[in-house]
Amino acid sequence: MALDAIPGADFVNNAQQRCPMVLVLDCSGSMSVGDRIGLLNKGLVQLKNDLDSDPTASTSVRILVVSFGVVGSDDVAVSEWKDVMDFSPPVLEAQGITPTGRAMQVALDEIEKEKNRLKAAGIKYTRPLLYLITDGAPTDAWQIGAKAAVDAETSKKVNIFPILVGDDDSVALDNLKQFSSRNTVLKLNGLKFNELFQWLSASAKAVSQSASGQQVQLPSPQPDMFSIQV
Amino acid sequence: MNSVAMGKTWRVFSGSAIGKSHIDRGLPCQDANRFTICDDVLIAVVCDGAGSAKSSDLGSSKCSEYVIERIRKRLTDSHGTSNFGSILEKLGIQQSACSHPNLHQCLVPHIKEIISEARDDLLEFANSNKIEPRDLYCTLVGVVADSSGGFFFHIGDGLGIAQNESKAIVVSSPENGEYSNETFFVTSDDWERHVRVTPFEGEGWTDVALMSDGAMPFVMNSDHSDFYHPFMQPVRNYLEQQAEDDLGSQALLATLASEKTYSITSDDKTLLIAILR
Repeated sequence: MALDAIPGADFVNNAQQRCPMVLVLDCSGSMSVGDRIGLLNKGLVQLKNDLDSDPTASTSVRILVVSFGVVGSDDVAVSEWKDVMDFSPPVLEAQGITPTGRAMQVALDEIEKEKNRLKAAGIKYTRPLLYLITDGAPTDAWQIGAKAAVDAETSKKVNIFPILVGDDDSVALDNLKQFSSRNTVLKLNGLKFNELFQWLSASAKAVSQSASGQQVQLPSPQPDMFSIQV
Repeated sequence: MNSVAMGKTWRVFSGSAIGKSHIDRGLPCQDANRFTICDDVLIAVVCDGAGSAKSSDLGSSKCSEYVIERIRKRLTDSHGTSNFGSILEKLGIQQSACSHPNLHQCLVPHIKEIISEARDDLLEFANSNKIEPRDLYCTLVGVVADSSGGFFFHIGDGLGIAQNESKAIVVSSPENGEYSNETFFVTSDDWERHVRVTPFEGEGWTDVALMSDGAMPFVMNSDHSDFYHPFMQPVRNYLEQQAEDDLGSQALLATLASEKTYSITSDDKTLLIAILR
């Protein structure tokens, strides 16, 4: 006969673990087409609320937003790293060009800086997830950023998912897949931003619950959400 | 399974509770714990099967069995009196004959030899059951001890902690890779590089505990320097009051299986507590 649990034992989570998640978001002028930027903003709010309601994810997932588009010296903007519970989704505006390569370099640098901060604080972390969400081909010298991204992914510094949310543009597809060591780009079908952010949230939750020695099985996206281009 | 020597008795309580994510996915508990008492010497092991390995429940169960058996065999091959030197003597380790100045370095080659034998047993088991060795991946944390001290041996994560009468504490910490959800396994090719041995010497060791990584967040404090007492104190008090070790172990298992752990971890949770009184 199984006995009852021992009374009085106090259960507190003393483990310090963080799961870094980086969103590299295209805010170029074309993102205003079909109000993609509005859907993106809604998606960020949805992500925040969904992760907030998960007891493990809300205290362990760390989010960084790198947005790119505005023309000028600051065509790449970086938020602060925040735990989900402290994360306020930004309201992004569509304006400017598409310096994807530089935005990715900035994101990769920020990841290594964050790892060093966590290390110094004695906090353990999982392999960061980086989602690049864009609606077109890069307009900068993107090859440098793409090479840095593939190198970082190959040396297990990060997992990278390039996602095209714009039209079926063969140049964009070809360029974007070069940002992933798997040479793969996910093409969002239609404007399924809601489903996209559900999938991002489910992935972050899966990582936040993974324990040592568990290979993280990222949840599969809904079958009709992406056409995957290799 | 009590053992009496010099008026002191080891009481051992242990439980391996399946984690929520394994319940939800219809998987078995992939943790295993095992112990034996050989004269007055405690031998105990906790193994955590890798979530990514297909038969890791078998891996952890068999690995713990083989390691215990290999050590037990060495201890019973000869007899001696109860002191830390005699544990070493019984294991065939002569510190005086060792060229290294410290005990730790003397122990390491012997422990590697024992783990290597157990590993061979495991590979043979895999071979005769047509299982891929990588499907048996598991971590290992174990202890050999009596009142005069002992040592932890360790590959990968999980944790060992020993405490003496003056509340001095020795911890064998988990080893992860860069990421907290990656670690090292007994069956990996590079296992030897990850064998760690942590001795604790001197009289008066009263408490030894081993645990898998699933139990660490609520059994240990945040920097792993000590037990988290609001959990451990009531548990220990309760266990000490149990007339039967088995009843204590059942209550410990029920505690580890509690739904209160679900918001802390979805992983399997093992805790083995040995008290010398």
